[in-house]
Amino acid sequence: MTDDGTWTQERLEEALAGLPYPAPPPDLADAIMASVLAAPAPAPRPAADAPHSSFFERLASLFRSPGLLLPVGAAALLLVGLSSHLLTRPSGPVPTAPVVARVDVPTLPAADFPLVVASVAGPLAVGDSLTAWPGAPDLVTVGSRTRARLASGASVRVATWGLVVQAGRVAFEVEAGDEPVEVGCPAGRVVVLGTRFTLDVAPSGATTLTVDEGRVRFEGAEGTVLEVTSFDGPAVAAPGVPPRLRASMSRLEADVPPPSPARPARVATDPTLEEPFGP
Amino acid sequence: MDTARRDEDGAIGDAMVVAEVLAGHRELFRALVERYQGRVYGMVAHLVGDRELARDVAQDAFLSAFRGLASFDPSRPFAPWLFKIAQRSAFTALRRVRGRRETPDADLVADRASVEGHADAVVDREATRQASGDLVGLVAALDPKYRSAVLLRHREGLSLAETAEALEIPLGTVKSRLHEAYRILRARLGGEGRP
Repeated sequence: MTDDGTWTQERLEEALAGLPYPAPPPDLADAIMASVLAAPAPAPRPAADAPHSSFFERLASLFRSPGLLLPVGAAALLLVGLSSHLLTRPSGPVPTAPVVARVDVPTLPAADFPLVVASVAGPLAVGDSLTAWPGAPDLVTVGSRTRARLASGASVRVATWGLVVQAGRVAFEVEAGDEPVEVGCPAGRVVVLGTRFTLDVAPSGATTLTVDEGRVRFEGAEGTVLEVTSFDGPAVAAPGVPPRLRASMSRLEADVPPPSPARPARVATDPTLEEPFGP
Repeated sequence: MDTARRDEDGAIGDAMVVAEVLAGHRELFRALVERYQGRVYGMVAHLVGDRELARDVAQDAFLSAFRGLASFDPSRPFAPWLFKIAQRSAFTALRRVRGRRETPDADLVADRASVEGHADAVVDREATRQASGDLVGLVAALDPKYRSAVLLRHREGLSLAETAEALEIPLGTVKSRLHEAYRILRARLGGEGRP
């Protein structure tokens, strides 16, 4: 309070701080304790050392519970086993040879070799034979580097080491790579490192090889080796007849029949088929 | 301040007593009762304006504190936590008395401001008669919401934040209530006010 009788804020707060309190009744503490001792015990405070603050701590607490140990442990083992199986299992059949797959290309132009694979109709197993439907040429992939286009009526068989052209016209496209790619035929096999070529196999087994791009090695069944480039023109061979360039094999040229007639396409498994060459 | 340690007088800290009570030694609660009964009773008496009612309210406040002792945070001071319970009990009692005497069917969850009339009615008559020149009477004549803020802030020495926590209102509301209380008290003290 100032001299003129007004109250300053400081003086007011000081007076409020000294506001007298009435004395409590002398028996108040006893009355309170009587009610406290008669009341139920207060709930205990949660233990500070067991906060279960994280997921892993909560998970660990489940394992520490004897009643839950067995089911939780079994579930964990099952989960680990399932995860391991899903992570390690192969995405398809375990290949013992290059994966050969038939590809649906119903609109494939006859003159263009497809560079883009549209879809995979399904894997072919070793021993399977595939014959293209008339008017619906097939595309077969061998591994990741080889595409084979079957003309109508052409037939191929899956060997342990790759593809064997049994009949008809089959165009190949092989992407360049370090490992050679082999394509079998009744007259032998074609070994390539990356090229485009066509094999045309007559019913008699006479084979015409046309290299569209790059260089291939045409190995006859009897051991003759002929390197053929895209500048050499077609090379021909037949069972028992070593491969020769057509220009020098005029006699065989007459033996090479026209393209195979159209036949119904089918996929057949014939384990009795013999491989033209060993792996 | 670490309330778990002994204070300047060598008394065991509030948090340590609380821990002992929670551990099963409930008779040790008496230490907290004897330590705070004067402040709790005095504050409640100012809030409810009736000594007999203040006794019941104080007893109920300590019993509520004992029951809810596990919710007390030992890292914080015990007094604001106890005063929050006490003022809660006081306002509950004021609503109950008001409803019984004036409006028996009134909603017991009415706003705190609605108890103002009853507080004025049951305040100590003698103190009321001396209100014109007595700060105690003037404080007793304040609206309970202003009265509680003034008592906790200045008589109990709580900080603004602690006062807000004890009253369960925002900090800004505490400031505005205190400001209004100061204005009313100054106006009523005026030229004739003498501390």
